[in-house]
Amino acid sequence: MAADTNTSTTRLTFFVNGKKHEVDHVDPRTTLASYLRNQMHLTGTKIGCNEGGCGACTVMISDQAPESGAIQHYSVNACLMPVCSVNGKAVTTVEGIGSLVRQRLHPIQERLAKAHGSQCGFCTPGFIMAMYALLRNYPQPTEEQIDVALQGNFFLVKLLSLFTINQ
Amino acid sequence: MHQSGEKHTSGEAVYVDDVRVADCLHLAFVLSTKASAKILSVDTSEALKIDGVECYIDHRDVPGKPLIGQNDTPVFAIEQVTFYGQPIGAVIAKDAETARRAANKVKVTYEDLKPLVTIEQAFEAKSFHKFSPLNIHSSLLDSDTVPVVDWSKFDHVVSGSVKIGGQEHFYLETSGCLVIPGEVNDVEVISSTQSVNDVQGEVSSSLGIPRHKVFVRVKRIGGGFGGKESTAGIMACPTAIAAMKLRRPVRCILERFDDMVMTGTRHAFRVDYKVGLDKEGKLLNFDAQLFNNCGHTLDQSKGVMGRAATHIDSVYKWTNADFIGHLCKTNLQSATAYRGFGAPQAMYATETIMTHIAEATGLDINELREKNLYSEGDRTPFGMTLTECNIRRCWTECKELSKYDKRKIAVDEYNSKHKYKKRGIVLTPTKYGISFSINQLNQAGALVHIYLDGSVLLNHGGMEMGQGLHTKMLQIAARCLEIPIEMVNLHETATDKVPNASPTAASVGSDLNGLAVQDACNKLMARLAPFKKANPTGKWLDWVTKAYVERISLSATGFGIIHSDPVDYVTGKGAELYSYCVYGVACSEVEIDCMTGDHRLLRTDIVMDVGDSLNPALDIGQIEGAFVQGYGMFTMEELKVAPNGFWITRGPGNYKIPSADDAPREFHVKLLKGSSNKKAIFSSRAVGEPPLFLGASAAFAIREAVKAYRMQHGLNGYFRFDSPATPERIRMACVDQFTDKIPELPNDNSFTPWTVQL
Repeated sequence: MAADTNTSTTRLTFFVNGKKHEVDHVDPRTTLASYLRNQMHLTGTKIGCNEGGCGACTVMISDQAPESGAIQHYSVNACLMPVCSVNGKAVTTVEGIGSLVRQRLHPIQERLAKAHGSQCGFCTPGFIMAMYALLRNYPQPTEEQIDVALQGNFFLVKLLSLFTINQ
Repeated sequence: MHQSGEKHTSGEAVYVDDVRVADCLHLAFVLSTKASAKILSVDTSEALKIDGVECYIDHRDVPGKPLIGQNDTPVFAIEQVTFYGQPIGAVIAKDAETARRAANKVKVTYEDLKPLVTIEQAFEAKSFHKFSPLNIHSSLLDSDTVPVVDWSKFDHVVSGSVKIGGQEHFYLETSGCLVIPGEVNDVEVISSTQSVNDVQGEVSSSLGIPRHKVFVRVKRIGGGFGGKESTAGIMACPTAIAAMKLRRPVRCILERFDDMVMTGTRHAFRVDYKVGLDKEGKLLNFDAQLFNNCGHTLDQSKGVMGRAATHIDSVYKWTNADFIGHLCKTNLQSATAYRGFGAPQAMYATETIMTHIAEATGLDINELREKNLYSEGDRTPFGMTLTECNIRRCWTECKELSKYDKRKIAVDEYNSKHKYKKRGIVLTPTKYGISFSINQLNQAGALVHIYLDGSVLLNHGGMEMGQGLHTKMLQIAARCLEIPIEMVNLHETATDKVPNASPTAASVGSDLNGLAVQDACNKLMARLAPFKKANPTGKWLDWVTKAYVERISLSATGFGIIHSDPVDYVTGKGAELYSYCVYGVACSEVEIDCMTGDHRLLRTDIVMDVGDSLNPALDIGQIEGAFVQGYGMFTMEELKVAPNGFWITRGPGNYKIPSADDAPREFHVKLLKGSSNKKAIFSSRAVGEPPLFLGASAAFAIREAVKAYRMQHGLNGYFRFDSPATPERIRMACVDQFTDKIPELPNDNSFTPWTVQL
């Protein structure tokens, strides 16, 4: 393969948890979930179904709204998002909002754990990121807004103490 | 708090696919696209051309025994396939996507054979598994003969049939494993399994190497529910074969799409019943034929039928009972263990029967239940004497907690005022017997080390799948050693720490392993006792240090057993099969939309007897979770299989499990106070499986709502209502001028239905 010195069409540039990430020649079929886990070794984001149906892969994207240019934050299923589509955007994963190794958990993480909000824990990062994205947009969400934000997260085992977390 | 709670929320908890191993390859399966066929040819040429593919393996690469499971499950299909989704071979490549792309390029040609898919087809073809049929005859408890029943002597005789669909486990972490070859023929397996011991056995057998060279471990799994109890070998054996052949680590993590078709579901059931009672509503005779759809291999099917047949009495006392269970062999993925293990299916039939009796005789259903509930000291048809039997207390307290009587009036009033939306409210009781029914599994081991700094490492044979078992075991160790819980650590479950461990299943993880942990800790305390006595004002570290210096062992194994007496399913003579029972009652209220078949679960109240709880927060979590899983089973989760055995439901797109907004907005769980249990550790009771059946309260409440709509249209009388109560089933049961417009399907072979009821 001839060396392609013009990287403007082959170089992917995006931010993950505040850090700039650049990579050339990514297979365009690669999903964001797969890239985060296998290339960046950020394994907090889980793959539960690989078809956008369970929410385990939820991460937050920050970018500029196409018309207004205003910064917007929203949750996505990383398993449906091609990694190439985050070019120029910022991705926040569960590792980005807090960690035990860094000895600092985000209040959402701390409160969900204290409220016995997890059992096997596999769906938990997805719930955390869905809640984080919600609170980023609506610091005092209504019950209905919470319902809509968590609709895509599978709740196989447990009733979450959602309202205690919000307080 | 769950021991790993903060690691869950920070994403730092490690599951098998998060383990980072250098130089790792990936395995993807080539699966059968036929339910029953001869394999004519397999062409891997296109697959092997793909850059990054290492090799293809199949049955010719199995160095040891070709069959795992109950000596009936091929590691790779040999000459023929017996279910859609069966592994024929596997591609190993540099990454998962490459392996899957290559696997898709493998071309298989088949010669079709006729598959058996439904219970009815298997029964007609006399296709049954070994051990079928299983029998229970209550009359054999006191005599040697089974009397012929004279049905004419009963005031009421009611008969019917009901079918209960299977269920997909949908553990959020799919099945998989990582195999790392060691020196020569040592091998390490990290497996998402509920039984490291069984994986060790199957890998050992298929590789042809002794168990002591196979090291299997698991730190945690992202859910099991029984679906990873005996099935992990399906992934582990091929992966181990690949790893040992290529001398490199190999990872196999199933796509949901494949997991849902390969690893087995809950057994679909059919129950044909005939019951006799007197005019006051006393239950007299119970005759039932049970059928389970077992799939192509035996696996857990005998145990599942046994548990079904020993739970179909539920909480009701019958004078005489005769049950026969048929293990139907079909060309489907092998149905396996699933939380409840046949009991939820059987008890759905029981509550159907109670409903049928009430509607056929005009007796009030709750009076009927109250009249026939078990009392202390009663004996079940399968021979168990019920002691510390708290069903009546649970019933009374749930009625009170839920304010059932008042709300029933409100529901009836709502129904009188609303034409197209109806509500229903019901009380549903349950009992669940605790022990493994295979007695040799009722054993557990532990290994406890005290280190020089006083910190303690706990090992036991059970594993963590989210139920909080490790948290409870750490609590027991801390309590027995009289040290703060922070001083006790638990790393993982591994075959080199506790050998021959039973699967973490049957809800007895805490009961069994708790005893073993307690035993090990008691031994250590006995050894430390003289040092404590000699230095009563000293601290833990002082005694530990002194013991070490005096060359007293600071490591101990522990062991525990629980009792079970096996039922003789050949003759039907019962025994004290279970150690004790767990009781519970739920009250659920639902609202249905009669035009669309949609429903909403409005409120659920549960009173559950878990004895003196080891950890109320964990137990309440288990009750809520089991309830929701049962709710999904009985109202939304429908396995869809085509008539030719082609498996349709392979993802969350067409298989619906409860999501966050399906939970009832009002959900009250109360643990029965003042209950104890002489039979288990620190007086607690098992909690994993018993509450699942209570999810059926939502389905029966839906049926009440449907009944209200039917009555509005002048349709009185019993109607059959199979499980699950999907929108289609609800809508079609709401018979009205719209459903009347739909012509009946012809009763012949002139069309192929989209799906069949298993």
